[in-house]
Amino acid sequence: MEPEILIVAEHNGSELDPITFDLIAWGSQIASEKNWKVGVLVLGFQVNGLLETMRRSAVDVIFALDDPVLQDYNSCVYVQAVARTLMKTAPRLILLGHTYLGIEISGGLAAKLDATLWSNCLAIKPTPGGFLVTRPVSGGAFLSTLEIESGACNVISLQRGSSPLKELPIKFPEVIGLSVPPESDPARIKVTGETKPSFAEDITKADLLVAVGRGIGQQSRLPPFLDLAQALGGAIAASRPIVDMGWLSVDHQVGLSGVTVRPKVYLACGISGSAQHVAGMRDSRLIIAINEDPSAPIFQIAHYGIVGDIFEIVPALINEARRSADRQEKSGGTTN
Amino acid sequence: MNIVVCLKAVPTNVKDPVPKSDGAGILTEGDCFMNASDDYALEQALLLKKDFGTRVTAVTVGSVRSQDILHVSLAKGADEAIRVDADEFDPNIVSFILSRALRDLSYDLILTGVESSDGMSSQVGISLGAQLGLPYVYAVTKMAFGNGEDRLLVTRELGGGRYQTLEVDKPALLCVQSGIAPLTYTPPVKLIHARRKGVPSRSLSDLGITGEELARRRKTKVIEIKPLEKNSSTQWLSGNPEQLARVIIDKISKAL
Ligand SMILES: Cc1cc2nc3c(=O)[nH]c(=O)nc-3n(C[C@H](O)[C@H](O)[C@H](O)COP(=O)(O)OP(=O)(O)OC[C@H]3O[C@@H](n4cnc5c(N)ncnc54)[C@H](O)[C@@H]3O)c2cc1C
Ligand SMILES: Nc1ncnc2c1ncn2[C@@H]1O[C@H](COP(=O)(O)O)[C@@H](O)[C@H]1O
Repeated sequence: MEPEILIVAEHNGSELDPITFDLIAWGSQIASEKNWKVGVLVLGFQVNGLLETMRRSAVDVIFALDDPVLQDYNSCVYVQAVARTLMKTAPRLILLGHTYLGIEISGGLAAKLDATLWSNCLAIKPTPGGFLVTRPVSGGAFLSTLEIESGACNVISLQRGSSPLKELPIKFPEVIGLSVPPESDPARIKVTGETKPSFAEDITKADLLVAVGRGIGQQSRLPPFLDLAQALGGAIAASRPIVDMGWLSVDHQVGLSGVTVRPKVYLACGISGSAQHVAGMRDSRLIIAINEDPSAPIFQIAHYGIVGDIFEIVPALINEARRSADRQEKSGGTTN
Repeated sequence: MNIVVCLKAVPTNVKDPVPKSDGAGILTEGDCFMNASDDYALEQALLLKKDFGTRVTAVTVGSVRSQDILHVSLAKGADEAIRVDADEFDPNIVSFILSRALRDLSYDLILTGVESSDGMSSQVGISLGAQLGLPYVYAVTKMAFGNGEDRLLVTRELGGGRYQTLEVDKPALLCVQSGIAPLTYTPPVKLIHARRKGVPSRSLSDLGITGEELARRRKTKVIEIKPLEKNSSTQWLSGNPEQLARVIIDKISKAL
């Protein structure tokens, strides 16, 4: 079978990464409009268990590429392996996740195929001459719509959580095993290891986080936020630039490349709300954001939004938090 | 040893971006600054220059509005800066132009940032590396030379606090993640000097890129740009700081 749409699956060896379902949803939607077929390519080593979990996936065919050389992710090896599959499948559209892996594989494939690539998309709509895609620009405060002429093959990568469907139909795809011939030239990238840092402080345990972003401007302006976190009995967290500049240690970084937190309260101060930051805090129970820019994307996910200067509000917050703590102590004292 | 660093000038405080009339890009106003992760890529290149005497060349594709970031790169210590005079927005086209510009340069290493704040594609670096036939790595947080200066020892992010360590053959393209090295101060005197000296620009025809070739690669039109729609379930709080503080602390106390 030669499906017109090929999806490159992401997984951890035993479970599909949820972004794969976003891709399958987009694939099925486009396929039904165009009367196309959808295939999903699963690359890795010892993926049999994974294939078992995909028995009812909403695609027409699953290509499985199971080989020891695919055990560790390596862009050189993976891009070559996907490119070899393409010689057998010749899709019109390749969909990948806009992820660490997807960014490398999509760029590598597009160059090999001389195909137009658009990354970081939120939506795709097929048109008679190609595709319309929607993607963020200018810091994410704006959405652009682009019209892409269809080429022999187009490559598009999509953001996590962009699925247009709540539920996927059940299908029973055919599974086709492929084999990767061993590398002819030794890969120019060699994976030597994988590490996980150990964090000194665990902000995932805090019920309340006061999170600071680039909006605080200078390191010397950090102390009031530490005071506020203390007055509220919570911990301090930060967006990446604050950690990059060395103002707080990496264990405070929330987001895609930091930690994922789900506190009862997340108070975002001077944080714009980039997709990479939001990825690490969107499930917080109560999100309050203070930002001077009313169009900042953080307000998309905030339950309460305050448009204003953090430096005007924070001193008042500290006072009020201390007063409230005093009140609680007093009332605690009288009732006991 | 030679390092090329790709830098992009990005507009800040963008108010009302609109598609260009021919759809070939986005019109914005305001000052341009060096893209955040590119600043770190440059810092990393200059650290290698200090340790290994590497020659550092900064390259940008952009209109005259983007040339000041090259002045900054020279003031910080780059040996040479080149601006390719083209106001392009499509990462497919920008990476192609860069691949042509780099064809005439010698390099052991190409560094880019991870993502530009205006284009947000995280694509130009990898696409450039792939077009030049180089190994490429995205989101590099550490790098060093191993085995003499033959191989690159690279640490890269995989997200969620996971990191991979790699050995990469030279020449290679690395997309540098922000935070890789501390940013250094740009001495104003050097900046004034660099601005006075100026930077050379090269036209697309200098690079042997014809109008037809560019037109053939133009497969995308920007047809609309609009601000994010406001989320209707966000509740807006207003008032003076004291009033706001009372409301916020009340909401917080109830949620804890
Ligand atoms: C692969 C990759 C991984 C990444 N991982 C992460 C991650 O894990 N975590 C993360 O946070 N980022 C991550 N990033 C970076 C991310 O893309 C953004 O650059 C970053 O989140 C922006 O941080 P910020 O919101 O603090 O800064 P900015 O985007 O610069 O926002 C600052 C905000 O402060 C506001 N402001 C300024 N002054 C004031 C004031 N006085 N009062 C009120 N508001 C004010 C401004 O309006 C603005 O909205 C990653 C990027 C990449 C490419
Ligand atoms: N016009 C440009 N000139 C030079 N380098 C660029 C340009 N556009 C993008 N880059 C580089 O590619 C990286 C990724 O950009 P982007 O694909 O736009 O997110 C940036 O961090 C820059 O290092």
